Amino acid sequence: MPNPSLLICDSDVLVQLFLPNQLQPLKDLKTLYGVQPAIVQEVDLEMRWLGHYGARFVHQLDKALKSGLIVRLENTLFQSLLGTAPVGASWSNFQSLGAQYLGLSEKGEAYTHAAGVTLRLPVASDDFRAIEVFEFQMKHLPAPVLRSFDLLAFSVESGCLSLPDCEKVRSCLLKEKRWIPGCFRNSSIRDGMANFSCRLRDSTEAPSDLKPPERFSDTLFIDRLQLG
Amino acid sequence: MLQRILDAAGVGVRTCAGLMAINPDVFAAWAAGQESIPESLQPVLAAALSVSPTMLSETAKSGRRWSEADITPQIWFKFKGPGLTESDREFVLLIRMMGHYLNELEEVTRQKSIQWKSIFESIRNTVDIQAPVKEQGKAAARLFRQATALGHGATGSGEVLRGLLRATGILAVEIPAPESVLEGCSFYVGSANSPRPCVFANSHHTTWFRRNAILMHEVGHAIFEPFTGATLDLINAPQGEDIEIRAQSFAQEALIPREVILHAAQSIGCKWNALNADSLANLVATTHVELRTLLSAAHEEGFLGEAQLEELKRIDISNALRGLSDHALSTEEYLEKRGAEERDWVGKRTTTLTARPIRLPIGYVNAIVDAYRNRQISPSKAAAYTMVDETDFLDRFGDIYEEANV
Repeated sequence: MPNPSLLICDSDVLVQLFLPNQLQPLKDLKTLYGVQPAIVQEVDLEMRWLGHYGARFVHQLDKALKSGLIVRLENTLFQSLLGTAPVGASWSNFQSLGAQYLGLSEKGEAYTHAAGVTLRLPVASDDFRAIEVFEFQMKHLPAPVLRSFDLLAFSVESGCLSLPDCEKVRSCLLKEKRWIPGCFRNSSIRDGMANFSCRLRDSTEAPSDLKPPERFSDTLFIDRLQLG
Repeated sequence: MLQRILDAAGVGVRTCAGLMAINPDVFAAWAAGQESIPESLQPVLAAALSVSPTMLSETAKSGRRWSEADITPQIWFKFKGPGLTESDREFVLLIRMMGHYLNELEEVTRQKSIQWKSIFESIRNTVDIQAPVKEQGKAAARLFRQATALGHGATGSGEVLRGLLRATGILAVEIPAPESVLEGCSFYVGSANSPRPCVFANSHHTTWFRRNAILMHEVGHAIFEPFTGATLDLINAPQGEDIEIRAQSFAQEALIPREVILHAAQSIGCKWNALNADSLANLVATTHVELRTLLSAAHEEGFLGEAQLEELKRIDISNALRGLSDHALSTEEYLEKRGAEERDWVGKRTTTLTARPIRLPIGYVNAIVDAYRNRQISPSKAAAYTMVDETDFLDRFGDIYEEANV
């Protein structure tokens, strides 16, 4: 199973990484696994004006976009992905699904999930409340939906992010009163990892009868690129 | 094109950006035509500004064919009138957005009512437009009462009025707008395919009894003047114009027709020739309409003579009314009486993400909270509708997903 070409990220996941200024997990995905972090236009808009944060993340976002660490999922990029997308996928279908989801959730998560479903690509979102609403309303969800801590734990597991650096992220998020999975709330990263079911793993850990992810909570196994 | 629309409307880029929670620099780039407006944002922006979404996607070059008159929606002509300020126009934007949000919410919760359409249409088709304007208003009110629950009893209808308007699909908004000279206004919100009448009453320094009359006066305008963009009623403005007389007679007959006056007078044992502050206050408290409208109705129905009417108009019933009805209390007095819980609820309805804090209507907030609790919308969506941060929303209304396994 080839690695997905993109990981479509929602605002809340970017905030979790921007607040502690820790973008290593996104860098690892791009350079070591060939998975390009991307955002829909609506997330770009949200990140430029986000609730009580206001314009706080504009500089970091522009830097990440300029360096290519994150790309915008605009029409041209979208069209280039249609070769590997499910039959019938189109920009207008994506917009129409996004508009439907917009009735249930805010624009960032609505269009992030709509892009993931239309292109059958994984997304990254911490908004489990929106996921509950989508499930309750029997809407399709991307498979899988990775959380910010899946990205952080994966980076730690792959040896690219040190435990102390990840601990700094946790401390920062605690201080900012951000969401943290239950197993890390009162435990260090090292201790919490034992109880954390990470949805992103290296393919060397994949079971022999591996099936493509079907549900939002399934695990995604990805192959490290053979460099050089 | 967006800049021309904003100029025509007399609304600033920053004001509009603030209301829509968009970075002002991004909004300015859209206005200047440097960046295109995402498709997902076009419906709400078009609804707020009262233009078609396609107009927003026009470039400066392709938009040259439009004259100022073509791009200025009717409503903004009215709101650029003398005495009206940017804060009035900001309120219109806000209310139009609320109308769009409510339409969206009712689509999701499947509670959309378009009953108003058939009621309004039937009234327009039935009322004789050659009759005197006062009679047109009364005839319309009688039809409105017959078509709704208002006609089911002879008691005051103030307590059920807002629910009834909502059930028929009319958006009723009561917000304190202290900086505005508007007392009430009516206009249509939503897209061209899905319009809905919206009536607004400024709750700053107006009693509940007065607002009942204002809301119905505005419904009268919505019925008879659907193509004027908006009808504005300014504080202390004379009511001499035909359309104002018609709207006022509609409000009066809808709220306090002969049977309601008779029933109220009988139930409190009122003697028309011996009215005083106490009995008048009792009549107002029972009929749910302000004194001015009550006296006018009683006079027209022949219960009061001309001289008596003038004499009774001078009586101050405010103290007597306060003792009879909580609705006569000012917001501060009401909160003092009802305690901390009520104060807390008022706080929960106040926006934090708008340029100036606004207290949203109870019915609007209740509809959002119900949809959130029924898992029909996410908390982030509910927060956007109530114009607060998601964290604030969860603090205010509780996190129903607290125990969710993630």
